[in-house]
Amino acid sequence: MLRDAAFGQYYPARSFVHSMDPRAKILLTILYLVAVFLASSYTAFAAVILFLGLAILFSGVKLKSVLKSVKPILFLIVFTTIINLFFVREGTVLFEWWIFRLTDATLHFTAKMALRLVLLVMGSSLLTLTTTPVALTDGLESLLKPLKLIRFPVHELALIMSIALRFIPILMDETDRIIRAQKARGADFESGNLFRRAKAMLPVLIPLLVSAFRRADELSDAMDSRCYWGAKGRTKFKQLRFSWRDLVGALVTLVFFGLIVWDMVAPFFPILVIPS
Amino acid sequence: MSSILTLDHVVFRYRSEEDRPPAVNDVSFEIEEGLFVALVGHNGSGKSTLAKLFNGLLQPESGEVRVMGLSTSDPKKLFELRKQIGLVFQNPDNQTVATIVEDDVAFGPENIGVPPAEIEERVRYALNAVGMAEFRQSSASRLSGGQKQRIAIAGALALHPKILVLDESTAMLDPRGRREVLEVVRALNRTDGITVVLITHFMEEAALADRVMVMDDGVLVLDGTPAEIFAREKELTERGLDVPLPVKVKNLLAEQGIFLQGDVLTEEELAEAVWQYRSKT
Amino acid sequence: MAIQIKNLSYVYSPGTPFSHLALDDVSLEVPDGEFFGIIGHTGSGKSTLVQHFNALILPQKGDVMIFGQSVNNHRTDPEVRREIKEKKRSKKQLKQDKINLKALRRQVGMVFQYPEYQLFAETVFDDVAFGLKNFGEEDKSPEALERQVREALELVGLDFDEVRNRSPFELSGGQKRRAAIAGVIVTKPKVLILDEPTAGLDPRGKKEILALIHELKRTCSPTVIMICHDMNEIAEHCTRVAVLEKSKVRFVLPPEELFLRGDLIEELGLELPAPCRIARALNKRGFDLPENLFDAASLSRALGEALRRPPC
Repeated sequence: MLRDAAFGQYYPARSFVHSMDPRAKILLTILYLVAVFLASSYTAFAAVILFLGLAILFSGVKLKSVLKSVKPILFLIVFTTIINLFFVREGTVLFEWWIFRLTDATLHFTAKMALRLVLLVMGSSLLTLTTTPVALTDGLESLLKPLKLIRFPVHELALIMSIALRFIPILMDETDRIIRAQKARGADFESGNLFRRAKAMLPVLIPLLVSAFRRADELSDAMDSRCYWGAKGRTKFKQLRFSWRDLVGALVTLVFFGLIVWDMVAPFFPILVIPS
Repeated sequence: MSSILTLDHVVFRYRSEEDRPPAVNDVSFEIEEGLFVALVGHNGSGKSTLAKLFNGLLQPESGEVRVMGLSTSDPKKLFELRKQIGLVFQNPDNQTVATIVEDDVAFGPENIGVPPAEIEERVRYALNAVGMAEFRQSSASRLSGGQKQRIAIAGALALHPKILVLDESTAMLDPRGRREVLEVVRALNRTDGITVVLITHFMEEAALADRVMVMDDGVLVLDGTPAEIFAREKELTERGLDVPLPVKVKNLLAEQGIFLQGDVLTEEELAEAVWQYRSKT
Repeated sequence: MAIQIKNLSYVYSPGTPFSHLALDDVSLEVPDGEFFGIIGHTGSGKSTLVQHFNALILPQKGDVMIFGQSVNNHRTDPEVRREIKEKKRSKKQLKQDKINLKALRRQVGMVFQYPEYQLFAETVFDDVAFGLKNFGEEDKSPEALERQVREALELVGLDFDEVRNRSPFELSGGQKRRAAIAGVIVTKPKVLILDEPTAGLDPRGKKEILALIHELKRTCSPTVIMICHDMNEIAEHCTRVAVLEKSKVRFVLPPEELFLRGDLIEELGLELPAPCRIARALNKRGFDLPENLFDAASLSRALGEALRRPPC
């Protein structure tokens, strides 16, 4: 079944991270992503990994599930690594063959780049693994509220996102079913060149599109019937409230973030370096 | 008793079918509060169009639909009107807005601006009423068809409606799911006094109603108690419908000169009538 | 023998937290000419099972034979198995494997649930011809194509000249389903599998589709396999019925014998056909009716006899 393979799906559990406020989680994830980009020394990376490890530990999510999120970008990692081998030219040469030149700088650079990508994906998938789509969109809606002042349709955007998330598994199942139905009529999706294969997908895409429109129609009727009238006058069932967990989470994240920033700027301010 | 849902010479035509006779053609009726009504008719007879006219999803070309005295043609009253009449549709997958059950049930109350504490109460009431309280935190996509439809009913109930309309809500379910949904709906009608309009083409379901209405080509052709309606086996068959099996058996027995006493609509009633017949002779 | 299943097992998403055993050591035979029914709860493995019948799903364990030919044919050979496992099989060989499978698949037509949702082409003609173009090794001339499409549409009761150039999306609900069925039977499969063919139809539509299936069985596909939730339909139409429960086949019996085991059927959470239920209810109150009656006529005959006979 296709839907079980969907990337970054919610991992139901009761844990410290699960019960944090989605807004806090979104903000802290952004901070984490910035930290991953800022990290330059191996010490800084160690700090990021330690932080991620702690977060995973307190999320109750199995390490395997988080690691699985890396699989789809494995190709990207390999690709950037190869590109790097071509373009990074400085440093002491360790090995040279034809147009390839491996230097110590290349090695460090590619290693850090790959590490960065993996940490980025793992961190952000931890957010989606521990936060339900509804909470996620609620959090986004709340964080983006100031944009309402410039008439940005924050509520509508959040609703569209949550409905899209809700229908992904349904449409994936449907795709699966239509593919099988057409295969039973002898359709062949695997052979031929790219053009032929794209053309072979038409008998799948058209019924899928027709069905998506039908579903959208029915859903809008169902929403109207349940008094949906836009954002005006709406209340929220689940009030977002910051708790002590969010404070703890924020403090821990800030400490690590501080460490990484310090690690980055310390070389420029010799006064900050702890004499060894 | 007062009429809770009134149709007054309602005509409706789809825009793409202007050259054909109207999908709903001069239909008038009144439904009294607390009744369990079955609306039957073959596919394309106009019964689902009626459901959408009930709560103003569609507007009549002429005539008027009133729910508790509120007209669907008055755009200012439509919001109030939809609180009073809940619609549940056919496809269980296409009426859930949120991924998690309780969030979905809360969607209606959120829309009408119920304070959060009261939403909690309404969600609890609605999920209890359909027997799905233990699935509050579940993901809707992992439920069975019958369970999904019960959640859809709960979503309508959370608005505390006076009328519940089920538009072929059992058509896509397996027998077990159908039974689940039917039991829930009957209980809501009996214990909570909610008026139910069940649109269906399962005659066994219609046999459970207080009143059966038959639509054919946009016209309300028959209207009466199940016993009255199912007495017209030939006419129903001509209209693409059927009668419940117990009725058929009763009629076939009558052909053999065996006349069972009383209304025979359900299997239990047939068994009872046969037993009574033998005890008497 | 049309279909033969030997020790078939199938696991969805093996090795993940979502892994789910859909078929557990299932063996089954469907001889030529049968109207074979499959019943069981949603999730009992019925759909997975029938998708093995036309090699849409290949066996993970066990074997499927279609008219004596194994879908595993190339894979039972240990040498070939190793090659596949080690991804050493050449492109040409893989292509041949695919052709072999396609030839097998052609013999078994499959009508999925709500088949009208798979219509896609601009005209009914193109949609029905889709299977022909994919499978057809023989005559692909426009005349031959037209002849076969006409035949298929007329078989399912649609007027060829009226619908050929219409968009399948313009047809009425019942016509759409017929057109979709035409798209399957156009290649004259010897076995026809239908998953809930009457779902969502009104009483007349149901009767018509069941009559159509009998007609197809007589003229085109002599072996019919039907998944169905409605026990009345199963009892009235099938020659033998397989009962699936929790990924296993519990029985394969003719309906007259199967529905005699009322207690067992109810224990499995399945329904009995309505006439059986009524007979059982009366027998509990001292009647002596046969419990394998499947329609109103035979039930009323039995009741008539019982009521005319004075109670002893």
